[in-house]
Amino acid sequence: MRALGRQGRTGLALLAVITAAAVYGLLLPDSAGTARIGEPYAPPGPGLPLGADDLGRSLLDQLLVGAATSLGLGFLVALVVTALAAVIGGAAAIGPRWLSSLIMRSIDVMLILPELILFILAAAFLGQSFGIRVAILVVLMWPVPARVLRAGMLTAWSRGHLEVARAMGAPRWWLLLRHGSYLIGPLLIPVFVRAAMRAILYDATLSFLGLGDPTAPSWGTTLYWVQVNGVFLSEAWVWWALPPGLAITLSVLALALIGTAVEERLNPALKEVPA
Amino acid sequence: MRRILEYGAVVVIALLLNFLLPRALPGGPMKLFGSPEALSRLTEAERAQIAQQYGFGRPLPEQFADYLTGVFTLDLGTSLSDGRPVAEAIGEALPWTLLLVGTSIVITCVLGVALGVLGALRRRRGGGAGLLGTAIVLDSLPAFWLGMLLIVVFGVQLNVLPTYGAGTLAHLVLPVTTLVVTGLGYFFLYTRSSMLTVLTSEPVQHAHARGVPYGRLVRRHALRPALLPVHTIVLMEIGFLAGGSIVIETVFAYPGLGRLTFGAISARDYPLMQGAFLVLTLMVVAMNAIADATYPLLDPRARQ
Amino acid sequence: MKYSAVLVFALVATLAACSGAPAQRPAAQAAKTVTIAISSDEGTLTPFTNESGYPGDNLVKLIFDTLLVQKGESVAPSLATAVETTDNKVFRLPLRTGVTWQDGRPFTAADVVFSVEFYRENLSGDSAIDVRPIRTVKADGDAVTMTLAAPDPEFPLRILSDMAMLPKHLWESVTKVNEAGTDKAIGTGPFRLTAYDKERGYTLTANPGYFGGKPKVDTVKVNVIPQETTQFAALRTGEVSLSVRNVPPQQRASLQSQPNIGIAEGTEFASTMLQFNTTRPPFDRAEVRRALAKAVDVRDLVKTALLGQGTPGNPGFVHPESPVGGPALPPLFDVEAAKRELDALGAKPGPGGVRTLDGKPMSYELLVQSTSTDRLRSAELIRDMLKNVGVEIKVTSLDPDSLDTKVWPDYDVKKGRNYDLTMWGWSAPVMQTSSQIVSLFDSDPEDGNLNIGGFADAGVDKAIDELKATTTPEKRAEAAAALQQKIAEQLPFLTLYYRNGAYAYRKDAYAGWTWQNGLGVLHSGSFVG
Repeated sequence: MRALGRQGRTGLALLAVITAAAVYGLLLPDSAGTARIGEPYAPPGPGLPLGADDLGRSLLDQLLVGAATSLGLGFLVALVVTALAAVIGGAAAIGPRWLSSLIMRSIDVMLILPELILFILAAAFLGQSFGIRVAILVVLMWPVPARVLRAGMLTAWSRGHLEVARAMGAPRWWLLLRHGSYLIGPLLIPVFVRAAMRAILYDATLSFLGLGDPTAPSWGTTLYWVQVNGVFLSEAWVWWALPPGLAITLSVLALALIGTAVEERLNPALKEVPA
Repeated sequence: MRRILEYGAVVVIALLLNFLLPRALPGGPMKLFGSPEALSRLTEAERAQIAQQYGFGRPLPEQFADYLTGVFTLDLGTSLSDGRPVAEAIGEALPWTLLLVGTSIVITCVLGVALGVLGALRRRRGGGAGLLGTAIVLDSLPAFWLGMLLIVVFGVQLNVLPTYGAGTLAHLVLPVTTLVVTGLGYFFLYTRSSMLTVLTSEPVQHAHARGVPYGRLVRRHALRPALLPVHTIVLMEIGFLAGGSIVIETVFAYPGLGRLTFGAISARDYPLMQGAFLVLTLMVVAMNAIADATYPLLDPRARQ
Repeated sequence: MKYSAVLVFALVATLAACSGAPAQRPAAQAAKTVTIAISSDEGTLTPFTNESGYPGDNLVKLIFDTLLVQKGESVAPSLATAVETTDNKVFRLPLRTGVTWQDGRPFTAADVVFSVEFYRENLSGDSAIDVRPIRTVKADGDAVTMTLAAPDPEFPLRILSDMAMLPKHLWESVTKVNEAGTDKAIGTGPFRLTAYDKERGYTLTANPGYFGGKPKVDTVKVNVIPQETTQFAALRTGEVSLSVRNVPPQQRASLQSQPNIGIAEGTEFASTMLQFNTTRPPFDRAEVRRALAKAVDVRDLVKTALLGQGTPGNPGFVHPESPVGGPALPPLFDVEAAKRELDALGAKPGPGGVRTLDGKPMSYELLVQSTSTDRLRSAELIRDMLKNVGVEIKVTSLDPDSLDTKVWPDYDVKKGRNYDLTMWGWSAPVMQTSSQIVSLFDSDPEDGNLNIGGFADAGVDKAIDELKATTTPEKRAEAAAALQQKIAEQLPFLTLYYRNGAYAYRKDAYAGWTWQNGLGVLHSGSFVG
């Protein structure tokens, strides 16, 4: 813990709180956030710490239940995307030339695909369950990080001592295991943070364009209904619009703080950088 | 030669997908030919006749052949929704998108990279941490959310800027701001990370040990390798955004390619969709090709 | 330091929330320029190239005139000065003289005959009208005589007041109607289309020689603003003078509190319903449909999802103020009765409180359009209501095209259907005349072209045949009432509500908007007279 420094500890604490909220949200009964327990548009009061939405349902419950969905989605997507991008990007960087070409050109094709259409197709033919949303986001998001990681890997691979080792006949896989981790590691962190964040934002944006599932609880869904209800033009924005917005921001902030701390930990040389 | 063949293959596959995906969407262009209530009165033969007359009812291979011929003769067909040539519709929208995207990219890139380098160099001081925090927070705002907020604040409350449309410089301010603010974080974080990696690399460390002055160290030894991967993402971002930002153009009712594309998708206007995707395809492929081709020029060591 | 950005965010949001109070300016009865915001492009504004019924058809009708116009529940003269008929089968229409097309050519009976024949040949287009009931059309001097295949007392309202007249000299050369350009957008109406491009939208200029008098607005600009929030923001700043979007109930109060914004409101005939797939068990049994319908409180839907801005649905479908008429039947809602009837059907509660009917758990999927906020909310409320009686509903939101593909593939009821339950809605014209209404229920797919639930009932078919045989307005209203009674018993769908129309406009820009049931505020009556 101490090794992460003050920044990292702040991030960890923040993330722990949000994760705890998400876990609590998971443990809430099914009716949480969907039961009509107050007057529509009720301001905060007893039993409704954050007031009620347009149907009279607890906004706090929706925030908690949404935390589980949004955070879970973000983490899962980021994890898979980062792993996939590292493997594919790595293979493209140090693999044989035909493999590299194949991967790079497949990435090009993936990048060209109009993603809106993929979303509509997937929603129409596969449905909109949590797993499918994760899968689609992964399919759409892996190419950019893979390309970026390949570029980073190429730079790392051409460093002096690795070239010497290769010239001396060290197998590629061994070099990769021995040195690759700390060369690639710092690059993975922004990729992970970015992917987690984009997954959460994407989900909200799709709802906004009418392509999401506005009945499934998530922070993005709450923001969608905020917009439908014109909440920003009323005083309700304090308890309705701000909490999900802040929740997204704080989650990403926590991730980023941990990210930078781990970056320094993984790469001890950073400590000696003149600053 | 090999490279040209490779990109040729990418373009062909992309063209095929651009042709097939729109047709895989649920529904079809029939809805452009009347309200559902009116269409429901048409007989099978009457529907078939319309589909045949406007082309989308002909056999797929025939349509694809037409599309391919069109791509090479620059005749992209006629939009099913308003009967205009597709090339004309795209020609009208493209300059608006390039104006919006070009302005945004230049500002985002210059600001993001400069601040990223600064953030890496000053990472131990308060300023660096503040930059990092601000960048992360800005980056975490959904673009549509920020756009709405800017409209409400600067359009409705302060009433100093137009809320929608295009034509004057004032119309550009809000959409460009939204694009810059939401795009800045990525460039910042990436540049910062890349810069830090380079600062810890052996050549730079050696130079430091040799007593090279700090300013020169950064300028001569760190900056160029650090900006290499950044160069890749800048080019890729240009490629994407040339297709227009659907969200931003929708929010600000901006008459660019993104809105044209979104409209074409909603209308199931096959020829217009194909045309819009073609522009996107060509831009992305061109930018990727440039990135690949220029990479070895910038980093001599990557020439294997 | 890091948290400063969070503070900035909060500060901006605070700024957004506090509002200044602009001064109130006088309401304008005439205007140089009025800017109307629409949500998507409408093509070249000819009867064959507009993209939507509303507002596309309304805009087309500012350029093109019809023989009659809708006024109140009846019709009034327009290009025709009267309707002469004795048997509701042969209609003689004396035409207004001295009317010219916007390009200066005179409007004649030959144009009317041409228009009918042209619509007969060209069936596609949002404002193209189905003229097949007209058997013959003849010009004699300054009058036109149309003979129908069968007597139809609703013919003037349904067809004559909806069929835009086309100038023969411009349209006789058109072969691909869907590609008709702006040069074909020439009518006799109060406005001329003077500019159209995607960047600046449309410019409509007043037609000084309009037979109904010079319009009170010189120029109507029509701009496309896809996003609802942006439309209302532009309305608040005054960049837009009228938004064609029905104001969401949730935003009504805040818009109305603005000093320069007025809201024109009235009855709309668009309907929202819970549609059963009556070809799929157990919804093929009227008892099951009735029991489920009794568990749905339509008043609560209006109160909660529409915040009271609507009329609870008549189980017999017809809006109480529709020209079709007939007494509105009482709501069916009765939870205890719903439970009793389900018990009587042998549907006993199983594990988790979900009933089992014929060996299958009563668990169904309810489809809803992801773009329609009131339907989304209503679907969620219906899920909770049905849960109370032991029926489990899974709400699935889909984009409208995907939903249509499941519910109404190719807009052809003969192609079948694949759903349990769906939220659905019909546009206003379906509610206007009983000959449209019967197409919702007729078991013959040719006549029941809107029967998306595959509903078939001999008693209802008989009531429809009786209705079609009527030749006078009075007899037809009676038959329509009898049909409604049957529908309320059979319930091929449960009519949930009719949203009220509420359109926000700038009083300081132009306040002459007048409401016409079935059309809203966007029609020539708002600009002339």
